[in-house]
Amino acid sequence: MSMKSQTLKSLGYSLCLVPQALLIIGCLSGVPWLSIAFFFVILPFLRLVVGNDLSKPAADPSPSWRTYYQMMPRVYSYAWFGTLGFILSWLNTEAMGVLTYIWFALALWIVCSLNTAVGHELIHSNLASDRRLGKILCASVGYFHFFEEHQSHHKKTGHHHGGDAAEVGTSIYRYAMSRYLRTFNAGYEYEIARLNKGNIQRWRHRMAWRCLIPIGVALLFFLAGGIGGLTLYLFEVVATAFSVQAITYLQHWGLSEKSTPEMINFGYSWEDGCWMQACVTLNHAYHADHHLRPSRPYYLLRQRNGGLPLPASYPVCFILALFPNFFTRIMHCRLGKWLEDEQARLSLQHNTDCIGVSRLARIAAQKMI
Amino acid sequence: MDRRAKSVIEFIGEISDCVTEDEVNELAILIVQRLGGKSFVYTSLLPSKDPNTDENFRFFIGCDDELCRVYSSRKWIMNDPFFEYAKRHNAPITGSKIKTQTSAQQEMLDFFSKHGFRSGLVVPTHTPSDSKSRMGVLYVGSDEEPPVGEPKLLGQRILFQAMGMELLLWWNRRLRSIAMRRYSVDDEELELMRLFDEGRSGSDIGVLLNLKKHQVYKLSDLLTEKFNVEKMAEALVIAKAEGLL
Repeated sequence: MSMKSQTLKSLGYSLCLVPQALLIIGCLSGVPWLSIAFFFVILPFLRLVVGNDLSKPAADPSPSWRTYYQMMPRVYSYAWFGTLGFILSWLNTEAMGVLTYIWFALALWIVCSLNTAVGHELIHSNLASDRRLGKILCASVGYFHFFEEHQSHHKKTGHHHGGDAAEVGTSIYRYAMSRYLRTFNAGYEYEIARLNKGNIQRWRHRMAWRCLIPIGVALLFFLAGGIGGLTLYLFEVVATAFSVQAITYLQHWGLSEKSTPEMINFGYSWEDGCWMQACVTLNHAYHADHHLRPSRPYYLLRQRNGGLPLPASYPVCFILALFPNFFTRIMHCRLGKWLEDEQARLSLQHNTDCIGVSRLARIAAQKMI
Repeated sequence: MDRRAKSVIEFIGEISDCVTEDEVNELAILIVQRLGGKSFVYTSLLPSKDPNTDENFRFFIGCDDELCRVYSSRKWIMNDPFFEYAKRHNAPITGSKIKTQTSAQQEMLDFFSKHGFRSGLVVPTHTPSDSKSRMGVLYVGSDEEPPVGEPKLLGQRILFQAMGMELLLWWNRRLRSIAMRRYSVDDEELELMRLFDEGRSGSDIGVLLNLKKHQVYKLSDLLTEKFNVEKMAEALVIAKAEGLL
């Protein structure tokens, strides 16, 4: 099955609100793990049915569609502020058991991670109000330096030294830790350079001011849920920071001008064509196109023909990356195949099997023979 | 905006927005056709580099595949009369005015005329006016007889010159960004290298770039590491050869 309809895809962008909705529904119905199940189970399985995104980007949308596209990340952000209110009142009124607490924390982590994807879209906007909203959205989940660190990310894509391409063999854990520290520093330096350049006083350091947002949110969590609430928020901050590094790890693993010069027309990025994922993350996985044209809004992004596709969608690759040796083997093999066989590139791109169902079926069939 | 409604100048302006060679090529074909041409080849090279190395050359091609195949297999690029003209001149010239000096060159021109370049216009592109910088030549052709086709092409020379310049600038930017990625250097680091190249001292550079002296030397060490050399002077040589400075 393939998804060619542009209208369906456009409507599909509203699926970005699903994780938030599932978080609330999960809490109210006593199944707080709903959004986790959606991301890690339903999404990969649904890909087998729904397939990849083959729709053309809305190159010249009508004014009403354009407004709809532009509104979607904003609606998501405002919905998040509402969700945050719900979470605080939930923490204040409901007593959760340990297991429910853990599920709730993980479900919230999914939403917080998605916030950074939508925030990413907003910080690339050419409207100052959108960029501000994006910064606030990211800061509300503790990743308050996203805007500043992202400048250096784009500047150094494809660089071997100091770039964001994980060297082959680097585990996600080591990468996440070192990238977080490096990019935090880069973000800080970027802001200092801006202040110096404009002869602006140090107290107007935007990153420093923005860090008050997570402090404020942490205080609200503490007031609403006591130590448990504060611990929950601190977990979200750390886990979301890890997610951002992990997604960057997946998107640029092993790709630099030095090691893979062939990737110049693909923004030194891995991408993924899952229709559902593209809708939920506002085309965040069309990363090659994004890196080639960073100012292009999400609804104009597309998967580039012959690009380098990840072996599976983000949730599955994320789980795989937690096992560094296994992940390295898979990615190395995938990259090797892409580099060696130009004919195979399109077939790799049309893969819709995230979870190895076809491979398992093949093995089972061979055993039966 | 509908492509049909756009002017040639707008298309030429769009060349700089293209991110891949294929996109530039597609746009260049469109521009050439709009200006009355049928085929084109744009070749750029660094005159200071060994002409026998293929990696020195960069192309945009909008002509018969057979022509490219034969041009490449016969290594006509080593003896291309258009290049010889472009190295010494700035002004566009019609193909029939190019004087051949060898029978091989004449054979090449005859072959060209059978493959979409019966009439031709040679447009040299140089920037800046430095014999060591990358230069290029745009050769546009049409199937009309030279007395008819060449005046038409010559009449559009200003637009072809603009297109040729944009193609050259595109390659310059592209190759510079590749080199920047290859050596993992950014604009600030290149600025520091430029100042070293001017012979400035560490403390001078520190003042100019708002850095402490030890930061300048730390950056300089990092740069030699990135260029995989022992001394900054060696890194500067590489950076110049790669068109970074």
